[in-house]
Amino acid sequence: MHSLAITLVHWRLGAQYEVQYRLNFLLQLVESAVRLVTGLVAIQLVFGFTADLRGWGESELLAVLGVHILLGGILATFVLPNMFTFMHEVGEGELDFALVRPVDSQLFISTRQLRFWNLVDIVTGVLVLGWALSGLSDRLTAVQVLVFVFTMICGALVLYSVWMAFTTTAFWLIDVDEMAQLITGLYDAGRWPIRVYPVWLQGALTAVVPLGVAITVPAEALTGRLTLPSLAVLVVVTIVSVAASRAFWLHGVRNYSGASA
Amino acid sequence: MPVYAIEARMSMQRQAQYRGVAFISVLGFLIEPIVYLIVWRTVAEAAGPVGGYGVGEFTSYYIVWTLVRVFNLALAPGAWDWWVRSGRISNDLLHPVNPYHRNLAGMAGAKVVWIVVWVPVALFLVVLFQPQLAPTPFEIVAFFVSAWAGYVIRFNVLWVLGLVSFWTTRAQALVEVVVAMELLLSGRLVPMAVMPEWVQTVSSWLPFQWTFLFPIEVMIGQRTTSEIWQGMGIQAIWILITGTAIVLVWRGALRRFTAVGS
Repeated sequence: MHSLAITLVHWRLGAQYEVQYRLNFLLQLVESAVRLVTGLVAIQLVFGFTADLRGWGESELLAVLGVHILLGGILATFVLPNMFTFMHEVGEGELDFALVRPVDSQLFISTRQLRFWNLVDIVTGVLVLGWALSGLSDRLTAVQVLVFVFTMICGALVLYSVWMAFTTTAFWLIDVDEMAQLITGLYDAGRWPIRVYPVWLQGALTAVVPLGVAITVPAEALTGRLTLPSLAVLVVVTIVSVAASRAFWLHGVRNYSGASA
Repeated sequence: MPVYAIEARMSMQRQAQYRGVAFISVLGFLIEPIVYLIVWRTVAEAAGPVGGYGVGEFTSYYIVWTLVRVFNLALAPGAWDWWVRSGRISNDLLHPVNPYHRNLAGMAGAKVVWIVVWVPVALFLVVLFQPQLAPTPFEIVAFFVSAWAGYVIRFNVLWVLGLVSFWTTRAQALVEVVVAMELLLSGRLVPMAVMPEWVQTVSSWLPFQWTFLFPIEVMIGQRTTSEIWQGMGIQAIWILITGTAIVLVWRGALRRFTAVGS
């Protein structure tokens, strides 16, 4: 309960701070629009020449794009600003101020900031999902919606854990900009369903850096393509990545000697 | 000219110390073309050749794409924002050589290291996807010339965009729009032949396709000899146009700039 209260206070402060900069809202609108348009153009181009991509139709790909934008929005709003602040602090020797706080260190460094205007991406993602659903013939059942929400939560947890684990490497590597680009690139590979990819790449996006499975499985849940094995894979991946990133973080903090020591 | 050689060598040596970082960078921007490659191969397998591009052509296109990407990587306009706001730019303005030349040469030098790092990755892609590449010696030479020319054009375009930071510290939205235009109109997302006719027309009036599409198509044999000569001529014109734009905007920018602290 205490953790939740801290998180909410952080988020409220973050939102209040960001709302002062109203021009940022416009900039975010432009950015989201650009991302949406390029994503749609890519799908339109593909379906100008073929009716399905390894069994995935146009509305189904739209659902993948929607999940990609929505999860990307959650990441950009709640996770990324915290991760970049942390990396910066390790480089500048300011992390000690965060570690001496009387709360769980991972909770503290993960919730300090919130980029309010990135909520635009979350809204955009929901709209795209609605559009995708209107193109599908089958009606959504209540169970499907529940499973979708569950897979989305799993997906968000996986994304957070991947970033958390990667951020933790800053304890040893300090300069991690290039790695950040690599992870961003891998996330963009999730704009297409990973089932389209060759087995080795599907494996990499499921077991090594599980960003692909985090996006594809929720889209499958929404479009009625979900199989029990792929749901099971997502659940296992979620548990393993949350646990592994937590263990890695604790290991990192234990071995961190501080800036002045 | 000696300035270029020295800047390039210094930056090459700096990069060579961080081989691991260079390798991760190269890996990072390989994911994008691999995704396009797989998607479009799948389309071509299902629907047959698209705009003259079959499975083999798409494969060669996106593999050469990776090398062109290493070539045309230029200073991100976002760097300017920080450069101007933090006041760091004052140091560079005091330097007797214009920062444009120092950066153009410096990035060119760094590329030599990236290209070396690119080779093993490219071999991996070739083994994996088996492209059919049979360039003539002329095409290979023309490729390197046009890839370097493409770098200069792209560097210039992004430099002009960066200079906008002297007027506003919120140039990011403009940059996003230009980057999206580049993605769609340069051949970065798909070869222009896949695009509708009107998009191709729009693209032919813009500099973007001379930084991506042209060098790639030279290498994979999609252009005749006369088209190659003509294309290199157009690249020269774009270097001239963007270079003139830089000179003009730079003068205005310097007049606007008052250093932090003065």
